[in-house]
Formats: sequence, C-alpha cells, structure tokens
Amino acid sequence: MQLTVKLVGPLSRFLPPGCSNNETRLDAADGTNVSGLMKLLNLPEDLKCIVSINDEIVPIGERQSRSLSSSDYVKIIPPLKGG
Amino acid sequence: MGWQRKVLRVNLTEGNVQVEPLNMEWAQQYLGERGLGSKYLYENMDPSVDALDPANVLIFATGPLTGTMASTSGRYAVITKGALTDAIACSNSGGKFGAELKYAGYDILILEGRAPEPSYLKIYDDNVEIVSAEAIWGKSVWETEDYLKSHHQDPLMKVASIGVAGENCVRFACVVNDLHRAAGRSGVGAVMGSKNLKAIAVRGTVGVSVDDPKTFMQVVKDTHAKLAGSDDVKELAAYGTNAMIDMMQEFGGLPTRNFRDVQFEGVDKINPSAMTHVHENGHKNLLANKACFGCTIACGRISHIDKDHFTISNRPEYWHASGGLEYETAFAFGPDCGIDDIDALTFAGFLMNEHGMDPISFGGTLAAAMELYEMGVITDEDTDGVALNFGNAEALTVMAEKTGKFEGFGQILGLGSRRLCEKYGHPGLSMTVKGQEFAGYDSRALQGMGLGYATGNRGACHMKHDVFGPDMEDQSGAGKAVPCKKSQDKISAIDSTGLCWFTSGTWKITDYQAQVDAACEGDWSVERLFETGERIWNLERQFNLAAGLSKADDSLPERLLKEPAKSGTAKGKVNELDRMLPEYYDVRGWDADGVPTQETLERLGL
Repeated sequence: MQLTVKLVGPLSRFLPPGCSNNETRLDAADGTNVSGLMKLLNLPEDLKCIVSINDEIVPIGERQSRSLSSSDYVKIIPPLKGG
Repeated sequence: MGWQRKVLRVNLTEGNVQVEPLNMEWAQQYLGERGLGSKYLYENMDPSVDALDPANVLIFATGPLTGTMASTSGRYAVITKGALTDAIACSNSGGKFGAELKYAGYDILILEGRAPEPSYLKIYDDNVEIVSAEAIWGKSVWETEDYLKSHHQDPLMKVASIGVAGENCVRFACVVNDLHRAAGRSGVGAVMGSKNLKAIAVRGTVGVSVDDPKTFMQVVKDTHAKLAGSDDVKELAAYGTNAMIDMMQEFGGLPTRNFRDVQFEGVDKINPSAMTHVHENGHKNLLANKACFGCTIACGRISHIDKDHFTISNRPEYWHASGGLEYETAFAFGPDCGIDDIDALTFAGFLMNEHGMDPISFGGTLAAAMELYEMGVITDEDTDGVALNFGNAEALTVMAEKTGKFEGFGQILGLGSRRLCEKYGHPGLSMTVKGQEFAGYDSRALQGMGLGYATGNRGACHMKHDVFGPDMEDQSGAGKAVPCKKSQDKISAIDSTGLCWFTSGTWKITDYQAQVDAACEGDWSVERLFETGERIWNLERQFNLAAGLSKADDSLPERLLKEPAKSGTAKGKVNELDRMLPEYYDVRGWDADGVPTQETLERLGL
C-alpha cells in the first residue's frame, strides 16, 4: 500500500530530498503498524513525537498494534513545548 | 554566596535611597528572583491596593545564579501587582540588564511610592541617584536607551525602560531591556509608569561569587556540554520558538480569529520557513539569531523588513534589523488576528519593543476588537476609520502604533481585552484568565494547558506550568491535575534561580539542583527545590486571595468550555475544567474554594 506521511517542522530533516509541503508518499507492506512506519522513515527509535492518523492521536502504547491502511494520512509532530 | 546579600530600596515619593541586608532566612526559603521577589512584595504592601496606586510596590529581582558563568544566567524578574490582572505579577526577562544589576551588588531592587516628577534611576554600584527624566519622558524605549547611553557617555550601561504606553498606563505595557528583551506580561510597565519612573540605568563592577567555586565550575562545564549536544537546543537555535507554529497548526491547537478556530490557513506564510525564504528581490526576513547574557542556546531572532513593504517603504528609520518573530508574537498577530503578512507581523513586533508593549496581550485584545467589529458592535466611528476586519494587516500595524503612542482607538485597545470587552458589553469574548490574554495554545486541544491557564497565579500563561507530555498523549481531562501541580512547583523553583526555562528541554531537575547547590549556601536537594517551588506557588496564591481574587477567577472563557474545536485532533472537544479543577485543589492541599488549608500552610512554613 502507499501511505502519505507529513513530518512536521524540524522533523522535515528526515524527509527524502525533493518533498513538498513536508509530505512524502512511500510504499509499505499491508498491515504495517505505526512503529513499522517510523522505522521505514528511518526515525530514531528514541524520537519523542506525536503521531496522528487522520487527525486522531495514536497513544505511544498503541503504536505497535495500530495498523495503517492506504487511505490514512499520517502526521508525525515534534513534542510540543512552551515558547 | 550566590546572593549579593544586599537589597536596594528606593522610595520615589520621598526621594530616599537606602541599602539594606538581604533577609537570608527568606533567601533560604524562597531562593531568589521570582520566589524571593514575591516574598518581599507580600511583606511590603497591602495586596488589596489598586495596581496603579503609589502604594503598589515594584520589585526587580535577580536570582542566585544570575550573572554567574552558568548558561542562560541573564534572567531577572519584575514582580508587582499587575495592572492588567489585579493579581500578583511576575514577569521575567533575559538580555543583559539582570546580570548588570547583580554586578552592581544587588539581589533585589524595591521601588516604592511615586516620583513627584518623571524620573529615572541611575545605579553605578553604590552610587544611586534619582534623576529627572524630563529629557526622555514621551520618548520611545529605543530613544530612551540611546539617550541614556549617550548622555552618560557609557555604551556599556544597561537600560530597562518603558515607552509612552507605560507612561500612560496601557494595561499591558511592559518593561523593555536591551532594546528588545522584555518583562512582557501582566502590565508591569504600566505600574512603572504609574510611579513616574521612566527607566533604570545600571552599571556594575563588583562581580558575583559562588559558595563552592570548584564544584560550580565542574557542574557548569557539565551542563554546558549537555546543552551543546542537545537536539532541542539545535532546533531552538535553528528555528527559534516559532517552530511551534507548525506543530500547533498540525495538532489543531493554534488559536485563530479570537479562538473561533484552532487552525489557520495562512500558517505557511508566517512560519520559520517563511522567515528564511529568499524572495525574488533578494529579501529574507531572518538575518541571524541572538543570545541573551551567558546563553549558549540563542533562540532569539534578528530580522528586518522588506524596504518595499507598505509598513516602512517611506520610513527609513525602520530599515534596520531588530528583534524578529517569536512564536507568541507570530501567533498573536498572525492566526489570532487572521493575518498572514510576515512583514506586517515583524513590523508590529518592532513596534511592541519600541513602545514597550506585550505582543500576546496586544494581539489578543486586537483579536477581540476585530470580532466585535465584525459583529457591528465596534464601528468605524470608534476605530478612527480603520476597518478592523480579521486579516487586515494594515489595521494591525496602525493599531499597534496608535496603542504604543496612546492615540485614538489605541487608548481603548490599551485597556486590554477584558476591560475592552466589558466596555462594549460582551465580556465573554475576552480570551483571558484573570484579565490576561492566552498564549498560543488552545486548551480544547491541550486540556492540561487549560488547567494551568485557569489556575495561573498571574492569569493565563503558558510558562508557569508544563503539561505538554500528558496533553500530547491524552486529550481528556483525566490525570492532568498531578502533572500540572508538580510542574507549577518545579517552574516556580527554576524561575527563582536566575536561569532560563528554555534549558528545560535538555536539563533535568538534577542539573538545576547541582548548579544551585554549588552556588548557594545550604544543602539544596531536588526535594527542597520542589518544596521551595510549592511554597512560592502558595505564597502567590495567598497574595491573590488577599487581593480579592477567588475560585471564580480560576476559570476559562465560555468559548473554550462550550464551543467545540472545529478541526484538528481535538475536533468536537471542549475543555474539561470542571472535571480537573476539584482534583487540582485536592492535590494542592486546598479546600473546595481553592483556599490553602491550615495544614498546607503550616507544612510550607507560611
């Protein structure tokens, strides 16, 4: 399946070259879960971030169990902090 | 050590200057800066007096680590009863002024009364004078600093001053130091103006010392190294705080058009990428970043405006570089007012620094006025003919200047949104707590942030608690009271050290503890820091209760409690304050009315 993923703000450094709007489309095996997607993107294992699928937050404890489908729009957002 | 052990007390009414020893018992209980300044405030005034009455007391407080070789050690705080909030105000700032005040030999500067004529305070170590400000009254912050350095022929002098906004007690006037760093929140500049005090000019030569120099140097070396290797610091330096605007947009917590919406369609035009975009004519908004005293992060932005932009095309006096957009300024002028013109936002930011005003509160007040204008409650007759529609960049810059110069409708905007909305009969449209405008985090998406806003001793503020972690994981009100309380206590302690909170993405509490313990007399454990923070929080609460505030002031605007978020991750949600607040009071050891119990007060030595 093909997934659309947006890496927000400073996380855009993990995108492949040539992406626009901080988005990339990538091929993933059917049944890929959130953790698997993060590995596909070569994100550090200890990366602190928020993951949302179709604007619904996936708790950290559910990243292994939450499978993705080809219509999903995934956002990976850096940790929020005051500024 | 760490402390200078001296307090400078200035009675402006009588023209008296006296130096007294620092109360070391209080220093051991409240540490410095925010905590110790609040203790001196509480003990030196009646909290029920009007904020603009001469009986209000204005305190500038450094921390035991201010001016030391610790990273980010430039912080000082201005503490008073806030003109915007009628609650305790503690507004801290970076730059270089705080360290200079410490080098002059003082932990605390207490300003009492009201000068019979416009004045400024000149501090050269032990040589302290109250000087006529006739030559600078009516001048901007920038003109004032230039004048004082030139007049005293001392380019190394550090200046904290107010603009015309502060002179006229604009409710959200701030104290600006070093041209574009500010003790920005709660109207501390209006209190300074009410005292006829235009500026404080300081040079110090006595230095600072610490209790255990050898240990302190090692701890500082270690904590510097942690910052140098931190991704958080690299991101702050590269993107500045405005990196938050993309995150809040995608999260769905970016307050837009006076909090009617939580996402802004124009965010790509005002985010960090827009700041570094090179236009066809070669112009790029961002020029460099800048650090405060002793800072190894350098989150500050230095920007300039396209000379062809309508705001400055005929005003070469603004063709220079100055303080650029930080997140809160970008949010308050951008999404909250529906404006996506980055040069207009930058220019309005310049005006805030030049005239001495808090951009969060100005933006929030203008957003409320824009909503009232679009409802037909405020008309062109009120606004001097300026169309106050959301999205009108010219309205932003014109009104920023009018407010800064206290002209026309700017005088009404200068009331702040609570008083403005009450004046026009729609108090519910003021997006405030205790009269202070919200920062750029919508509490329908961030529930714990809402609890922190509601219970903030200085009103709505994003810098006095840190519940981001739990808020990112769970968008209900469950389990937010404990982390809210604990973070409030932690930040109260860190705000009392003289260090900057922006280190907290890297440093753990043990890093602050090690620096405090090495610099200060006494055995400063992590537990003691938390207890000190809790004592400070409760002291601030006691001040507010004595000032007449109550449980009713621990609330959020109805919009956030009843109008669900329209989009983003919190679509359909409202803030669950009713669920969180009783639990919070219980965790705090307060009764059902939000009053600290006798047991709590005794436990904290209050």
